[in-house]
Amino acid sequence: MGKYLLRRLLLLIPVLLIVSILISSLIYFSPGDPVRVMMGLRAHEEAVAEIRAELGLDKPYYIRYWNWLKNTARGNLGRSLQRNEPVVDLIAERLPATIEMTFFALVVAVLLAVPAGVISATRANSWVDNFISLGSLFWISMPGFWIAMIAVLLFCLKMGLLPISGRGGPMWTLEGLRYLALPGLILGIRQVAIISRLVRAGMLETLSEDYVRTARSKGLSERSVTYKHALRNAMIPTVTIFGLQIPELLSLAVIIETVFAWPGMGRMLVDAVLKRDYTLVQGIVLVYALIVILINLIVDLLYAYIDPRIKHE
Amino acid sequence: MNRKTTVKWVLLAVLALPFILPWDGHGLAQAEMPKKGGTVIEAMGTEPTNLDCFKARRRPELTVLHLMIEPLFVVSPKLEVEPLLVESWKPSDDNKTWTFVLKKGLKFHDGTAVNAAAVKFSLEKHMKGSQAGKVKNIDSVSVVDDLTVAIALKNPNPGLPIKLASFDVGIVSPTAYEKAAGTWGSKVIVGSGPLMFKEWRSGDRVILVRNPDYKHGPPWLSNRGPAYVDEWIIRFIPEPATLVAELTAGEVDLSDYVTERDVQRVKGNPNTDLIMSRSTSAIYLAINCSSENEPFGDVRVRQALAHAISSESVRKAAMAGIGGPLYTPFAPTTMGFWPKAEEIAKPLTKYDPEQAKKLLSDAGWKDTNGDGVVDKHGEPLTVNFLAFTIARYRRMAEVATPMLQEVGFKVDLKILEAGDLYERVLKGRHDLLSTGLVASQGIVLDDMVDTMHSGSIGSIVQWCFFKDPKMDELLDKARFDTDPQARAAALKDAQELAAAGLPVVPIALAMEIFGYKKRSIGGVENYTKHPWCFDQADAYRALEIYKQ
Repeated sequence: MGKYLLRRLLLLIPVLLIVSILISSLIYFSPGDPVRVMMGLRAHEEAVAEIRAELGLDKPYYIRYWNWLKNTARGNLGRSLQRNEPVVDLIAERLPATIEMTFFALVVAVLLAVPAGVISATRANSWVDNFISLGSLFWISMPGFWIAMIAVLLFCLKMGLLPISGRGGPMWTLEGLRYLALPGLILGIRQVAIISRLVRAGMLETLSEDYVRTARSKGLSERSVTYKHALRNAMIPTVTIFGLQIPELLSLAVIIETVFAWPGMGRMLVDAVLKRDYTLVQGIVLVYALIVILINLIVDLLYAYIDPRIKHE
Repeated sequence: MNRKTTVKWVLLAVLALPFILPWDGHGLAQAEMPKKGGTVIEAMGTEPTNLDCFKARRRPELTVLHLMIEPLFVVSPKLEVEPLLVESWKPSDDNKTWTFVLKKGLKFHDGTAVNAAAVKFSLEKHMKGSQAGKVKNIDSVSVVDDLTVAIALKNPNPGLPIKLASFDVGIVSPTAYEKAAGTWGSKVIVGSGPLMFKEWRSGDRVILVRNPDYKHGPPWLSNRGPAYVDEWIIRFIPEPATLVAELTAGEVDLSDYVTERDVQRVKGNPNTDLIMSRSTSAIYLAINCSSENEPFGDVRVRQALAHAISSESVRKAAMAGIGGPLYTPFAPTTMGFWPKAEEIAKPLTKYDPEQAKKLLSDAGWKDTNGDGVVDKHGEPLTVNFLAFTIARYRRMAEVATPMLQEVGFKVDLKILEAGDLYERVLKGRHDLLSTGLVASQGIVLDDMVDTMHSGSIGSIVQWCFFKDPKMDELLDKARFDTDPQARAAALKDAQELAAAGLPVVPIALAMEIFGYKKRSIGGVENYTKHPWCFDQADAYRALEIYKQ
């Protein structure tokens, strides 16, 4: 297991290197001048050229990338071209909000999706199953932006239960939780739909396995058969999808962050792309890539925990 | 009843009077006294990119900066230049050197003095920054003594004070700038304005606090300082529907980011009200009329474009009908605007599709193959039409496209985000651009120089690629001639040339839309009653508005 872990961690380096080359060349070669975007419509070419030189943007791509790479190896992701602040500081400022919302969404997803999927499977083809299936289809089909706007209308404006937008503080405070509840729930609801369907499919398969019949014939309670034996085996594909849903959550978060004015990294990334803030884009994408790779590593390690037959060598 | 009892009853009645008679707010009017303290929350639709006044040039940045950084002069409600940081000023006989004496005792937020060295530092930085175009004529700035600064110009300019009345060329503390060492504009912003920078929470808000020492606001304000409120928070809410929701039912007190489409929603809500005033921003479709961009170098083709489009219909569809009529490339509300220019332009911009077809035919463009598109030498007349992704400009382009197709243009419409669009426009890879000239200082001469002087080619706002030696000559005369009558005559002639040249298809005069929560803040009527262009008004909302 130790060797497996070390190998996976070492693989991080080439993966992140390839990601950084791809993203930096993509943004560098896209049309648009970050200095022009910053200085606005009336800026004259002389002033633009001066600022461009000041920011080192007059150097060729490979020199800029090499300088960035050297600094990144030392933990310095450079300075945002637009904000003139260290990229690390900007990410550190916005990352907690993104992690909070993503974590909340995942917790919501797990707490709602797993029971829903189990109930759906154990009462297959009943009105309960049909109701849950229809609900899942609804939440998967509806655009996130629309759901968010309806939620604001209902819970914030009509009922006055929750604040409309912004972040009220860290999620472990009451005020923080109040502001997080709605954006986190909206982000998680689509995952509930997807994951519950997977749990249902997995459960239906495992409930028809021989060992489940054996467990029943040994006189075990239905509860024990369902949750201790069937669910554990049904979770493997679910856990896989769970890991793959993280990138989707991070990209969906942009829409939720926009509607709720949530100060997360998704919005910062979109703004940085639109403003051609090369260093900030590279830094954020690198962090995202790292998060996704690490989450998938955790997911792989979880397999071994869920199914002891799986060993990582 | 005996006398003692009568007196007792009279005394009791007199004592009871204050509790019986309508006193406070009922019948007897009592002037509302502005309350000191509290926090005002303003909403903006876009977060500033940075708050470095030497680099910032977009509205979100300037809206925040104008609360903290002041220029040497201001423009009064009578549209006259008045001193703000300056005590007195004097031009040389040839108007090429100006001497300014600063007011005594003014301080920046960091306690350092507003002095000649600070003015020199600030103007020299502006000369190399995003405002370089505004102060292009400055040759050098020198310190005469602690409070006296001399500005030497490349060309004589009797209008220098009005140039220095722009909040975009504000004066900052050089001490704070040097100490900031790379955090200027993100963690350190030090001016002399009514509010001071406290914190910028990325993606969330900027927090400003009252400058307790500020007392030198312009004399026409009801409050010359300090600001009433303790804190002024500017929240960034990118989604317009969420912004309006926060204004009508949430924690936001005011916003001038209410879109045209949300005007009725804000006006119709019992908690909010709206003030609309004509801005100095002109919304139009800019035509690339460079002689190399055939056939749009031909004025007949440009006139055909103008006659093909119903600006009223475009206003209704793209701006919910909110906006005044526009006939020339410049807002009639700008200082120095010549009203007769509208009379020249009106017949040229009237919606008349038949006239448009006739003009195209006169220019040699006819539909020879019956496909609905006019052509010449077998080549169809294609309009490369670009628009920003900003909703208003995108909708304008979408509504105008079928109108152009109706008269025979083939339209290739592309909706692009700013970075890509700027690059194409700078290279002249457009024929028509859905855009607007957003007010800077609201001076027509400045707007004309920026958009129609050949020396401005190379900035995006010269999107018409207008290059006419006669126009250059007139604009230079309007700026630098020492005779005020000659300057005025040259400005009129330049506007006549612009109106007849038709470098744009005018669509609308934009409105300033200011939404606010009625029972939450006061002083709005003081803030909004002046006919200021936006950069003047921005700063003074901090002094006029108070929390109820």
